[in-house]
Amino acid sequence: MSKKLRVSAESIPDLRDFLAGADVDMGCRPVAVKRGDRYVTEVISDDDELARLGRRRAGGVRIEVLEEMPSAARRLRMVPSGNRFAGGVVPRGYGRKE
Amino acid sequence: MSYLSFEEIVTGVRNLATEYDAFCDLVTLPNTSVEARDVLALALGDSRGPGVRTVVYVGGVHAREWIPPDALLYFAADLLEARREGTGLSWGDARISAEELGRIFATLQLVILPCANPDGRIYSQEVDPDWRKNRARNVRSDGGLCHGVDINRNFDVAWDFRRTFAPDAVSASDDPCNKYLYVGPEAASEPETANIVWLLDHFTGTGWYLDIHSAVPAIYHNWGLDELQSDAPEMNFLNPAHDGQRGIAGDALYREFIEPADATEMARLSRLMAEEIRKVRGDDYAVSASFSLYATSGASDDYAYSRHRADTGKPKVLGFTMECGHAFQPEFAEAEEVMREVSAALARFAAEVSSVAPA
Repeated sequence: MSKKLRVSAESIPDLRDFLAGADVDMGCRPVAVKRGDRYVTEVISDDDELARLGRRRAGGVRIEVLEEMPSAARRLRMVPSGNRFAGGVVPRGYGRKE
Repeated sequence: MSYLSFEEIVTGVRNLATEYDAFCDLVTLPNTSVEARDVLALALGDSRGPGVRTVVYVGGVHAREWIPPDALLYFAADLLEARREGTGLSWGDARISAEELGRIFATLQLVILPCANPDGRIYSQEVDPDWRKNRARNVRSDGGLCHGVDINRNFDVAWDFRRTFAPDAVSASDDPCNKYLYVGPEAASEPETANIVWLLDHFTGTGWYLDIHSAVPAIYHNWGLDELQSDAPEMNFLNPAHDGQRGIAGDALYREFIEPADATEMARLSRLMAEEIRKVRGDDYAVSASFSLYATSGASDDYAYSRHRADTGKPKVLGFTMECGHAFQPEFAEAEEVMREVSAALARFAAEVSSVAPA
């Protein structure tokens, strides 16, 4: 299973050093946001890599498991078959027209 | 309700173009995808054409980010319906008035490409929901096969990362089997990339480019190559004297040049979008330049902004990336809330730039 992790450190160089060589999914853009006095990034990791990261943790780096990622099968079920716009049906957005 | 399939996105785009033909045109991009699918966009506005002042909105570059294509299709639907009916629009407490909407259509063209990567979208929704790239066939040196190029590392801006960046400074890979970050065999090698380049080439009035991704949540603006500086114009991505120096945070050796007025304007517009998003349901989007933890090479927002420096005959395009929501594929009720946030932000962006006199 994969987990979403929040990894934080006191500086961006500390965070980079820790994540160098880590086999984690850093999403679209590998960014760190300052939250309070720490720099925070979120990554997705499988359990084996999470265990490796836990063993390497040093220099004030913190790892927090945010959530377990839903299974692939569960996510694939969120896409329907069929075409809701077939027959000329026009899409309508979420905005209120007023 | 649930996420849209690619077939539904295409049908939806076509139906909008037919239903609202007075206010939009269907744009068929010149390149089919790797697997030969058409790529469609809409051009919205009272006046439409290559030279009209234009905002380009792109979604679906990364296949597994399911929200942005849906959000852009429904955003276009909202704008068109409200324009025809003469109303304003609101999402939560975020609102644009009928007058603002009228001004957007009167003074701007909005080119909306909901799904830039059709093959990837289909593969992600039918086989592997973690799929991010397109479906290019990459033949390895041993004759084996791997699939996919990361379109958002394939644009022609500092694309040759091993030459242009410091070692290990950039989020990119030249391994054709890297699941997420393969940059491709050459810059702009992919038809999906070439389509976005074409949009910027064809719509010569483009002044703003927004690439909608997920999920941080945040709004980023140029540059993603390095930290910013405005004192040394010669320290820029085109200068080979700085090859091997780029991409290190906190050093003085290299920072990417940005014109001060551009930096100010991009930060202002980004904050404006974040403030509008907060009105929808209180979510807090970070705002910053794209570079922080690692550099990115070959990204579309940096490409858009690089063009006028690489070729002074091209117009300046300010580049933005929105990373919407908190997950790539949340439950759909959450996705709907994120779509409202995206629509509110993009509408506010258009309303704001429609009020700025042409340069």
